Amino acid sequence: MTKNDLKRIENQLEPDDKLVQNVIEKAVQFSANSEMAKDYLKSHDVSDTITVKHNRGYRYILSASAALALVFGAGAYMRSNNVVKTHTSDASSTEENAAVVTDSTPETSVTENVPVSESITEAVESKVDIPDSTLDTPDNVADESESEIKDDGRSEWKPDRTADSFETENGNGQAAVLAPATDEYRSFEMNDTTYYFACGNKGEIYDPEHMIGNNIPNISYINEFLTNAEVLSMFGDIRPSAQAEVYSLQFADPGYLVAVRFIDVNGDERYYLFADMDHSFDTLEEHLLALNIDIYTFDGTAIIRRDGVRSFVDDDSTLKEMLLSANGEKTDTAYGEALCEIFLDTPIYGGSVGYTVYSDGYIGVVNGFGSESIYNVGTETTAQMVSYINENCHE
Amino acid sequence: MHTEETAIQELEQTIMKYKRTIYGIALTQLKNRHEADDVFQDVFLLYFLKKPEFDNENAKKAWLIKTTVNKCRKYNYGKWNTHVDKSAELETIDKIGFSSEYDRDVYSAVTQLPPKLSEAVYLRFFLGLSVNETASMLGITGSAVSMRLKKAEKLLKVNLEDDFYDKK
Repeated sequence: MTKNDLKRIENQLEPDDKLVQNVIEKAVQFSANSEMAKDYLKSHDVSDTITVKHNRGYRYILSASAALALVFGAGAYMRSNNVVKTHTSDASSTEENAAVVTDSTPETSVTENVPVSESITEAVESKVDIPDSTLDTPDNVADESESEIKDDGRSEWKPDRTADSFETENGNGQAAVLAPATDEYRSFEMNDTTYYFACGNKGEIYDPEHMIGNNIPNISYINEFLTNAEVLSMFGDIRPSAQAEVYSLQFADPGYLVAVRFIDVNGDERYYLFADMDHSFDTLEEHLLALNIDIYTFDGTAIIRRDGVRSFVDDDSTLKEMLLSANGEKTDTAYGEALCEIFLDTPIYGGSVGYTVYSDGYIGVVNGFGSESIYNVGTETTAQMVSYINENCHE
Repeated sequence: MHTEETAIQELEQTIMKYKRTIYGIALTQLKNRHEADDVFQDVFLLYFLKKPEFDNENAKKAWLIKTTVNKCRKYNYGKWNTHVDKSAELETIDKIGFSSEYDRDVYSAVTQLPPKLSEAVYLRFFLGLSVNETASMLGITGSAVSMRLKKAEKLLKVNLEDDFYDKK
């Protein structure tokens, strides 16, 4: 099914001309009779913004979600001893053109960092309550992605800290993530700049003539300015900047991650990281190579999902090493039984990556955008992982 | 009088521009022409009466879509515990008069999805909104949108025996 198919179908969902005429006639009546108009408004009004019953801070974020455009996934956290992941890349280009990033400092919440335009604040103030069951409350949102997980009696897990640092051979950085249970968005710092994570293909933000997505050079520099681009309003309430500055970001596969600096009409600036939603690699090794460069860990307990139940592994470093050293060719179908799922949080890929381990030697990789790839890593690898989990997990 | 005429003309232009968008959302979510007609009418009359101000056309479109989604959710609220006349739903789809059986089957499969999933599918794939925009319209996170789309695609693949959306 293609975009054209769906557009064609949508075009066939046409209202009756008579219905359209009725609406116009009613509007004319309301123009002539203000009392009638008032009564109608009273009985038919509904909010034009989605209301979520939560604390004020979250409502603020939700209504400004268009402005922030942040993505986070319902991921598990791997324990770290504040040791950051160091990646040894054999791609010399990535080593030469590294980011120099600052040491870890405590993360500041998105709400503190982000100025709010008046129109968005007004939108928050003007909300009308809508029955809960029709809405996605934060609990429901968290449950949405974990709806198949049985309640094992544990309270919701969260990382011990809200910020951690990471370091590669090419530099170090800071990232912050909070568990879905706290409903706070994720930001990510590099070179003293806080990036907010946004999903979407680069084509959505670029002037098509610039073709940035296809023309980022293989060797590029953190914060190397590439071009100005016209940016349409893509975040709903936020007013677009006349210009957005596009910066490259060095990565294992540099064609798919870029940073954009927006300056809105108030002069407020924000930085966003954009990643190719659908990007997948030909081998698992390439995927993990890309991931390793910016991977970071958090204080927190690794959570494995098996048979719909969460279990925990005390020391996840070995498990993580097993996972990150796996390799295999991309394939279409995973065979065997899905034995467990392991989650990692990353500043890319939509905020989280999930790995489903299959009994017949396959690993399914799902990123926070919902994009899925399957790799054939061999039964020995998957058996080792499952064996380790069986020996070291507890419910 | 002149102002009123201008307002009516503006309403007409807005309806002509967005009628398919609004009606498509309502019909897909409610699966019933009568209720979709009601929502269609409500959304545009609310637009006419409330006279919201927008900085640009995209913001206006977002307002219309969000209002439609909210209206549909209100209609669907409580339906889970009441008897839903399935024959009325089928009749609605039959009467649409799709140009091919293929189009009919695809649309029918989408309407059979749970409302939370069909909302996301319609906005993302039929209207072509980005995941971010879809998330903003539905009041949920981008991850939740992605998860819903993933679930929906799996269900649709089973029903249609084909990949729902060719991403290329």
